[in-house]
Amino acid sequence: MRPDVCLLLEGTYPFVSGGVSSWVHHLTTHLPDLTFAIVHISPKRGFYAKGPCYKMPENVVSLQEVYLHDYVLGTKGRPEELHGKVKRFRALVTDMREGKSGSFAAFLDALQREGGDGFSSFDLLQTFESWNVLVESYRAEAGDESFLNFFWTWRYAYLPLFNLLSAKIPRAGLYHTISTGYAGMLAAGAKARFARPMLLTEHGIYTKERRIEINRCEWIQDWDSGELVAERKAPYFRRYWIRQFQMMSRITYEYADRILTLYTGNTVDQIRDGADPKKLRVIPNGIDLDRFGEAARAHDARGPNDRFTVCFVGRVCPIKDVMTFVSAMRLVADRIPDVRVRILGPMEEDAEYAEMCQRHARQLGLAGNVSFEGKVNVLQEMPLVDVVVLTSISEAQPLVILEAGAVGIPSVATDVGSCRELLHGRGPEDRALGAGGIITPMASPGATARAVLKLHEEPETRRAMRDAMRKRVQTFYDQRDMVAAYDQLYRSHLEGAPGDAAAEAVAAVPDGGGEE
Amino acid sequence: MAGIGFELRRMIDHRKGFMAKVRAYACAGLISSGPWLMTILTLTLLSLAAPALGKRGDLSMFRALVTYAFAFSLILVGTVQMAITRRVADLLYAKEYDRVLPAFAAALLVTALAHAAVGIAFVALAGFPVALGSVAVALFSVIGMTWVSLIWLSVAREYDAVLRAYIYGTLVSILAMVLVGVQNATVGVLGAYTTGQAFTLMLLLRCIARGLEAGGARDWSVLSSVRAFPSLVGMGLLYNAAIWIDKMVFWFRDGTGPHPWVRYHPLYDTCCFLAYLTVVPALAVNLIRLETSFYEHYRSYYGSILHGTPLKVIEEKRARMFQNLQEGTIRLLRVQGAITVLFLLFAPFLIDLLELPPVAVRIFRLTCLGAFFHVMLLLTVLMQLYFDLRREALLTSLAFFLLNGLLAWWSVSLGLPTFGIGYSAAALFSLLFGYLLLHRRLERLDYLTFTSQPIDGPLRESSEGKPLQEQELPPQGAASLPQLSTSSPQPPEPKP
Repeated sequence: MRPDVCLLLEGTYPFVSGGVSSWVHHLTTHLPDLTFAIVHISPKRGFYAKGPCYKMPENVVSLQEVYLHDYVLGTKGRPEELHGKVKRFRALVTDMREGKSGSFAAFLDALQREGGDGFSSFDLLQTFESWNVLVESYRAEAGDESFLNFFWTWRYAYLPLFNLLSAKIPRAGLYHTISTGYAGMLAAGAKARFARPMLLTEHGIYTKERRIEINRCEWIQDWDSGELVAERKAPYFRRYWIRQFQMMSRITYEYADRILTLYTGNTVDQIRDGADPKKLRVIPNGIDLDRFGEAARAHDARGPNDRFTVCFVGRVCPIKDVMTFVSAMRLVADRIPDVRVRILGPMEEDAEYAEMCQRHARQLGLAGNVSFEGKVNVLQEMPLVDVVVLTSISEAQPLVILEAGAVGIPSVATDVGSCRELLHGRGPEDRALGAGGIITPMASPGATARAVLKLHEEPETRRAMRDAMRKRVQTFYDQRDMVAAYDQLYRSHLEGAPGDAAAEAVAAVPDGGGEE
Repeated sequence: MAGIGFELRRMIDHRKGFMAKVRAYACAGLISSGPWLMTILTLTLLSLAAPALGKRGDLSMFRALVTYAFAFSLILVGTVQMAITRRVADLLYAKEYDRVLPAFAAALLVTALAHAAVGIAFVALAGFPVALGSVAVALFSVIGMTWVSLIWLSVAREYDAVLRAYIYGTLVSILAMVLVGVQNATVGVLGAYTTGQAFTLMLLLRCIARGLEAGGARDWSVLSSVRAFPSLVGMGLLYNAAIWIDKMVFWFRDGTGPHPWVRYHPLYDTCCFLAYLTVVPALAVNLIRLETSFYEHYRSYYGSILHGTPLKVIEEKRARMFQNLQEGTIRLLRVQGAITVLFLLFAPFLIDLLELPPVAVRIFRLTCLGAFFHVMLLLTVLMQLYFDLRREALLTSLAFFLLNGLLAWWSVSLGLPTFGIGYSAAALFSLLFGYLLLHRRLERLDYLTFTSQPIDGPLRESSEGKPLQEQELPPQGAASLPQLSTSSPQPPEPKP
């Protein structure tokens, strides 16, 4: 039987734990009347050898992996088709370069018309005709850059894309991608192929996260190889990748029937990246309020003389800027020598970085204060925590602020993602409740430390924030509301059989000239 | 062969003076034509000396058997020569010196066994007497092993030693013949000659053993390299067989012989061998140029790719490399052309001098022309191998083999006036064919170089795609293209 919803995921559920994964797990578990198929984009076959780390609910009827970097070149297609294919590829490449997306539809259409089976990356990457496209593109924009670098960049840019677009994915009632990027491209392809509606939920802004990753990764490697020419050389290829990802986002936005996100701040970025404001809607995440009653009572019973405890909850990875957190804790410990600092969250994602953070803590003489505890049951530890701190340089809607809030713990968080919205309120009614924590600038150990010390020194402020945050979470962030919103969204799009808005959207996609 | 270039240049640069230069060129001639030249020299000398020796007994059997030993062992070894050369060059390139000798030992053993098997089968089926058969098989095996040793020594640049080994071996041969062979016709002379060849082989082997660090017993990886390059095996077989196929057709359709299975064609053979000698200067010039000036441009081209220069620089280097190749080819055409024309003009005089029948003038002229085309064909095939166009080299060799065989057949049917036309026509047409294939590919050289990269990036270790016979060259293949992670982060999936 055809599943109702096909979820398109990239490097997350059910293989990696984290915010998005919990969200997907929650959504699928709480919509038992709908059936789900999951298509997961993995880097390579065997990359997630350990298998799923979630026990998927029964209404998830299939799980399929698509491999981004297991290249299949295929064989040379029929020569009479080659010219047309390369022509559309050339148009696509030109558009990508000029920041346009018009020819993607024609490209996709041509690929699919020629049959998913007949499509081969060989035609578009290994033939002499396609080589000319590469050389033209190089001359047009990178004539002074290393040609070898350009060649590999080109391959890594287009080969995974062809891989994806030729993957066989299941037919479903609608397609729901949880990011733009590769998953978004896959969803766009599915929509074009099966003429079914496509939804996009973006937790964090994909292009933003990619930009951070690209800049960071290249800096490190420039240092490693000691390349002085980096100043001249690296930025072009950096720009290239950022542009490439921007285009993928733009195309995803174009194909999506609805674009959902977690908080208002994201919509600004989405519109800037080309999303149609009419398609946008904010559906914030919520939490399961019932789970926190007991923890809240235990927290209230906490004595005034208990050891002051600051807690970091999240994956230990660069995007969370744990280094800044550790530095801030040094400043806190200067004033509160027995402060207890707990870092709760998995450390496997970037073992090197985790190691660096631990070393940093030791070097700052925090061995007696700081403990890296790995993945633990956060709810169980919550009652003993006084302040939760977030130093991330990028966030979507961090649930830990809501969870801490439900327990009654104020948060100190950087001004990223929806942190300000969560702590100070979104609408007027929400804002009237008062502050539930303190917002600090990012990468600022001093500001973070001052905020923590303020909460330590002013128990009344802490109490006021506790009350405001509990009320806010109960009123605006009940998980059931989120599930209900998606339920309604799914059903309205599923009901629309072919011929409704979805099919019209497909029809509206420019045909691009058909076969010649 | 690449390594030879440096050695030659060193000889030319540092031992200034005319003799040093002559010696360098002589070495080049020796190495470039290698076994081929050795064979021709030996066979020509034997052909010319035959009448003198023949007075003391019938030596046709001896001459024919030596020719056979050379011809068939060249074909047999030629089949695996390219693949073995490549394997050794790869080992040297990877600086795994202690694996070279074991690999060589394995190759040598296989060669000896293969030759013995083929040789024994032949003498048994042909019903040779035991004594003659044993000596013939011994000679056959010794010569086969000599070719394999030469492959190694040319990679290891031991030219002096090769030259010395040959001179001493020849001296021993002559000495032994004088002592023994004068009395006892075939077996004695053959045995004496074999002794000299065996002495040469021994000297070569000693030189190899001295030059390399001793490693394990035997390294059979050399055999897997033969399996890894079937096109090289096919190409080696066809090219070497092509050189002999016309002679075989003449032997069996028009020749004479002391035994139904052992035949020769005195007129055609002698003319061919003499014609081959006329292109020795071309071979020497060709090698010097290939190994010095062309090789530098070749390296510069691949180097510019590897060092990440802009495309315009790569294109410039490529243009210069092609220009160099073109100039070299023209120079070669001019030098060899002049020499060939001289021989064509003075053919009657030469034939007369060698006391050959007047009809040989025409045949010699035709084979001379053929040898001229043949040397250009060899250059074309070499270029195909330099650019790793193994399929094209295979096709060119196949064309040469088929044409040379068929046209020889045709020429024998038509009779004496057409002798030699087959060979020259076959060489000319194969040359044109090979050149067209090469030209078509070289026009798209950048494209071919890049698209032959392994699809999933430059990480995988592989000798596939490494240019043939090169140890010092930046190989154009996967193993050495640098990982370009700085500019091509293979994007993993983030958690959105």
